[in-house]
Amino acid sequence: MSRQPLLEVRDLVVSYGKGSALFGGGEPFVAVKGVSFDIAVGEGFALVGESGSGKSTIGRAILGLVSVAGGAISFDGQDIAAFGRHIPLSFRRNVQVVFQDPRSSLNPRRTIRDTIGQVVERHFGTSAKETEARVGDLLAKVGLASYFMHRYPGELSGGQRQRVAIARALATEPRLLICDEPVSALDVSTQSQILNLLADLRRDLGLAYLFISHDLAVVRQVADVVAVMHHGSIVEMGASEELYRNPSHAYTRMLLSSVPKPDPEGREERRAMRVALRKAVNASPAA
Amino acid sequence: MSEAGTETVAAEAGAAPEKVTPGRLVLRHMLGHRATTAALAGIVLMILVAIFAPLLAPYDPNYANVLHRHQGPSWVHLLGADGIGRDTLSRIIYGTRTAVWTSFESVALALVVGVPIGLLVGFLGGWWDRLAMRVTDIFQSIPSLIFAFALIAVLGRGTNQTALAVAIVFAVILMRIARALALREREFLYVDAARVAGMPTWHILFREILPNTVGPIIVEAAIMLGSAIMIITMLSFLGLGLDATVVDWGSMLDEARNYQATHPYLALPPGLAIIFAVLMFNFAGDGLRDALAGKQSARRAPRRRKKPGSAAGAVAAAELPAPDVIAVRGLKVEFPGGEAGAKPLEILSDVSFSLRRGETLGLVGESGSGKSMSALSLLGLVPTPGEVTSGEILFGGRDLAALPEAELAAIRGREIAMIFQDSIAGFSPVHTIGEQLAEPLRIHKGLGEAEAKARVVELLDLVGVPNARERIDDYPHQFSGGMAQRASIAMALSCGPRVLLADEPTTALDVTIQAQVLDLLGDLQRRFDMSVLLITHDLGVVAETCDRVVVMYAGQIVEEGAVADVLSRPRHPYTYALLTATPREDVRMDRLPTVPGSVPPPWAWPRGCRFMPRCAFARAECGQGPVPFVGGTRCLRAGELQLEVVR
Repeated sequence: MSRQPLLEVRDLVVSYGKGSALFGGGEPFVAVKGVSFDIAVGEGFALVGESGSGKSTIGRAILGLVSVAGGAISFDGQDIAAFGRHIPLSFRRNVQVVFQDPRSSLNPRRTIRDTIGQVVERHFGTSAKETEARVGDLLAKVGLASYFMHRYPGELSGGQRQRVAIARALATEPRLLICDEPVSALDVSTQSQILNLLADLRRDLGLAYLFISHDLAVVRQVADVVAVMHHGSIVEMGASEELYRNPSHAYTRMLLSSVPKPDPEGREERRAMRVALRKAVNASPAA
Repeated sequence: MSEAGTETVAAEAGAAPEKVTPGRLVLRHMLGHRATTAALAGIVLMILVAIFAPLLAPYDPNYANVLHRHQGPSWVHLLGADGIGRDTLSRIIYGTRTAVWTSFESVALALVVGVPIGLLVGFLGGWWDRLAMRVTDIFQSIPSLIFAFALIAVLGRGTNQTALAVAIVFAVILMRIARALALREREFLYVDAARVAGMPTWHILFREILPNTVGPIIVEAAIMLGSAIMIITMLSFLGLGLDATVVDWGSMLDEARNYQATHPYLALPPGLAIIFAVLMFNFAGDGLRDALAGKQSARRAPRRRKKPGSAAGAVAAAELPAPDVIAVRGLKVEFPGGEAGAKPLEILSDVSFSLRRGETLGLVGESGSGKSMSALSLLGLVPTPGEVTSGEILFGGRDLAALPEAELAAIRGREIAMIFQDSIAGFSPVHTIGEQLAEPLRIHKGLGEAEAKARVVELLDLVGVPNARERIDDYPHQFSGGMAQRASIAMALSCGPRVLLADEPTTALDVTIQAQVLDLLGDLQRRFDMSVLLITHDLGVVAETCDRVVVMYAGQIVEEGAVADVLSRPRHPYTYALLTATPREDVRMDRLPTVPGSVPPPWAWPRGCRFMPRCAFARAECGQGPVPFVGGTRCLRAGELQLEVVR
């Protein structure tokens, strides 16, 4: 791993203009309040938090899908905010995304070949024949046979759709893959297949990952570094093993204690602890 | 990459067998409807008449034989002749050509202009969108006929000028529609994915968004074709629009008007032609709309189940063993097969379980396992066109599977209550939470307004909604997901049910809120001695809350037992596979154990053990025939397998 971070996020602020009356009469709603972190080449970095914590917004800011109100994001030393509305293809090539819901992230009216092939053509200017060959290779990489390219998303199972979404993301040969809840729409038995696939791809292609997830159990399996978000800020960040074994922030402890464990033994004790931690967090003004 | 490769074959197992393109499906739906088929045939007929007008018309439409003035229908003039002796049939035929041409021209022009602009402003949003919307507001505040008059006054009469005037009116409408559709589609992640992939805007608009919006736009365009004919004939009738040399239905009507007193018949052929054309386009548009809507899944609706003959069983239904509150026996739910005459699909097969007094029973399985269907069938809520075809559901001396809808309705909410995953959707957005919670109390319990209100506050307090007294005046959208689920629990409890069915009640919630809601459910269950049937896909949730568990796979129960036993010493390989594949936050594994493939759809369920294709312990005999449920599990090898879960 190189010292130079692949992605640098500094004091990032993202706000949504003219919030509804819910957020105090036209005041902008600040979703991300000055967040900083680095992702090294080939590193697995995870943002965990609950809905509304701002974790997905950070991913969208890095992808240029929402505008940034303050701070800086740089990829490979290049400032992303400087691009404005027109993000160069070179950056697009390097940073790709896998969204949560493959039902929504694949166009239902287009075949798998079109969905993946158009990305290949856009970035590498391939001929129809070359494109087809590449799409076949990409499908093979995610464990799908090449005849899948003639199917529509509606003909695939949830796990197969997510494999297609990963293949599309790999089509540009990216260096950073943002995975926004990549397995939370999948069944348990399919979820582990996708997580193993992502691990294989990381090993084989040297990809860095930004995992965005609410699922602490999943994050533990994939991340080297974990940042816990709460109300738009990172409350705790550290090496994954250390953070899970020794959570220092009260919110992290409560979060971890809330995860249901598939082990009925000791559930009464767990419950008592959970209630106590909840009280502690509610009492502390910081949370 | 080798691992990924080995999963290939298995990952394909769940692929749908049939290949039906969306377009073909819509056509099939449309042709299944007689009125729509007739309308499509009518439109084809009009187009053919328009194209072959010179061959079909017996005379030149402008040839006037003065001797034949005002002749009625005869063998010489099938539809008679007009005031200067021109053949009416020939004029109707040539008029068809004018009507078809001008309407298609104006609608095509409107589509070409309105749709791209609408898509673009909807997609870009912001200032572009606001500007475009103000322009359309101005346009739509001018009556369209007056606008057409003005435009024709400027441009002069003529076919193209008229078509243009109509096209502009329609373009504004289509722009609005396209904009609304683009606003909707823009929210889908495939649009974001295309942006991230670096696709140019035109590509996103026309290759990604447009294909998903054609349906409603085509429906609108079909109806507009009819309206175009109306407007254009109206303009000609008023002596505006088409110039005098063009044969068209509107000017025929106008001429007929001059002889109305003496020859009223003259108005009949053009009038009928206009009615026919407009009706055909409207029927076709409506049919298209229905066909497009038909693709969406059927709504959930209460439905008569089980064969009528078995209704007698409702009374005879039997004595339950003491601890059981509900006993489900041999339940089978079937859906009709896709094609006519196809075998019905069995969605639930021989489902038997019982819910005991004061227990929390977990019903666990992945999507497609039939767990939600089992819960819905308890309340007679199997979505149409599915039905319970055999089995019984014994509750309080009755067989719910054979009970008429009216009696079921009395049980729902009062004796058996249900909460769902999407709790906010269960509330009406236009009434306050307080009103909605009070309603069942007033109807079922006959409480007065003040009493009901006090009880609602009590209930909300009970489920832990803070400041209940103030929050009863809030609307559902003002509640967070967790609070809405608490309110829906309060609603479920309001009539003191004996049984609570909870279908994935915490799946949509954050993990901390999930823990709180589950803890709350546990408290309430103990406090009111309710029986809770908790449907979930999460074995962690089962372990934290349930006393017993039923595991379902592909429409069957595969294992049943006390939670402590099933989760530490599972007897069915599927339960074991689920347990080992569930990631745990307290352990990091280098490689997660996987279950190859995915749950097969009902039409692909194996004849023998349904888990066999994915099972690591399968033997040849597993595939030979249906596996019976024996000793709490449905596995031939249960006796020999030692499936210990390592922690």
